[in-house]
Amino acid sequence: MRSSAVRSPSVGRIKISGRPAASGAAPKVSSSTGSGDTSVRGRPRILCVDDEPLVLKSMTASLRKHVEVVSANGAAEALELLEKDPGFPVVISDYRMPGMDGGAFLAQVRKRFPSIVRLLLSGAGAESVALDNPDLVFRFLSKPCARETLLQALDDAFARGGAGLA
Amino acid sequence: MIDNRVETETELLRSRELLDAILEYAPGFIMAIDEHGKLLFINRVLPQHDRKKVIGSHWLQYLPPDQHDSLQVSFRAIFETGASKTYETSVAGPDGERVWLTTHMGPMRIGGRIAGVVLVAQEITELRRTQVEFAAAQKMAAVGTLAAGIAHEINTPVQFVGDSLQFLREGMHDILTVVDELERVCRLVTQESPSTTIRAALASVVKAEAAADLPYLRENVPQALDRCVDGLRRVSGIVSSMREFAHPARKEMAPVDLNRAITNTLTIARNEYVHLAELETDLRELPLVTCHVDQINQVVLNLVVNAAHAIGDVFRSTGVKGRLTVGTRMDGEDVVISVGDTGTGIPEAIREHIFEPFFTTKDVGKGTGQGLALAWTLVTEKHGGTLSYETALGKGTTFFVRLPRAGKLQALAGIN
Repeated sequence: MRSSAVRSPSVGRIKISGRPAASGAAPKVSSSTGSGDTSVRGRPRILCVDDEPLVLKSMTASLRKHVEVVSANGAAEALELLEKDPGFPVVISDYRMPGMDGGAFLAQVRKRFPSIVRLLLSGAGAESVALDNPDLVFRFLSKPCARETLLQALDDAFARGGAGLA
Repeated sequence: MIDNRVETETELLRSRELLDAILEYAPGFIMAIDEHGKLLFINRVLPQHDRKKVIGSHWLQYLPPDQHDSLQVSFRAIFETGASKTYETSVAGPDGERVWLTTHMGPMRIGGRIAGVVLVAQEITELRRTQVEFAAAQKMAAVGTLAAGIAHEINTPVQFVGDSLQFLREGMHDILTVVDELERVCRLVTQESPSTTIRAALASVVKAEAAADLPYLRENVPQALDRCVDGLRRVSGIVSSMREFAHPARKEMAPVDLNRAITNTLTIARNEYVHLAELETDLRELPLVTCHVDQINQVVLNLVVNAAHAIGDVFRSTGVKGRLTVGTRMDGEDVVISVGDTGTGIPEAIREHIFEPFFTTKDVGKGTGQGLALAWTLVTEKHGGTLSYETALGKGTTFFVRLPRAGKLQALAGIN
């Protein structure tokens, strides 16, 4: 139920953008003032994975001037989506989710889509996942995460991806 | 014949002495009481009594008066039913401190009839204290688990409410920018001698703006959204304090930022003091302190709650807010945490009792008499520190927690 409600707009978005993954110079999102810059084309795309649709919708709205958020309502849905369209520079995942958790999901992403930079955005208790697996998680962000913090992390992630480390 | 009797009596005396000597070392009190309530035997007496005088006296005079009635009932019942009974009770010890006993009372049968009652009492004060500490530790562990769960539950909505507020703030800013442009257009059009239709449309715009009180919205809607953002930030601050405070206990001591832990504790306990006292903190720069942070949190919480109660006593009679002072500082290799109140001070008569378990001056249901006793145990026994206080009647009390910075074992190793 929840899954399908979020899925259709996500898939729709991917078709709209239909362009290769962010390439060349890493885009900078945090310094953008936002005003006037509403063109879809100028924004990098990120994939957000969370089992709470309200988190996904709110993040999409709050980041809309900086990045284009494509959302998936769970790990399985996200992997399915990535199979069809792996062109994301960054993926942000929640940790505690029914089915596959964020740790297992990011491990799958690392294995199958190694060029995507992986962030973990989660509530308390998931810090250890990031600490114990520094290779798995580029950065751990604790919920609630202020937008400035998230944007800074995204900038760093884009820089990491753009630097060709992956 | 006479020789024989003397020998028998000598024999009896010796076995009686042997029995006395053995029973004196029994880990408890053993009394035999005849049917009239006179003590026939007692294995030993508290230092304040003379054993010779105790024998033959009435047994109840050594037990708390408020328990006489129920003890008398139990005593009588043994003669009627022949059944024994076990119960817990407390008596005043030699220094007036409370001593807990578990007591077994049963029939003493001689020649087939119940000739009296045997009472065996064993001290369990230490056991009771351990039980209370264990219960407190268990409760804290349960609270910790709950807090972590609640924090997780709250953080998700805080995340999306926060993101939505950010969006609303920006959206409102953008909408108002568009409205500014539209207003400018309206003014221009008005100057250009518009047609009747346009004039009617412009009039309805003016009317709608007036009905909405647009200038007010322009000023107040962004402010309201800012308040929401501030409030939400506060909520998430409280949640994160709660989570850190109730972080599951570790077995080992670990290096801890004590000032941060104390700030969290003050956030959590805020409701205890905020209406009674102004909070003054003087948290000086500290190195990391090796300790069981959950226990030190508990100690500081107990001291803060205690201080708030002391201030509350004054506040209720004078209506004047007091002052709660919380400080930290280094002193040599020790860290000192101080918690001060402007309460009534500790009366001379009770000073020596305040760290005793189950000692309380608070009303029934308000104090359990465990707070300071538990703080004492955690600071001295678990951390090798000291807990002391300075008090002045009518002025207030300040408690000082002194902890070895490097932790208990390291501090001991340093001595050797």
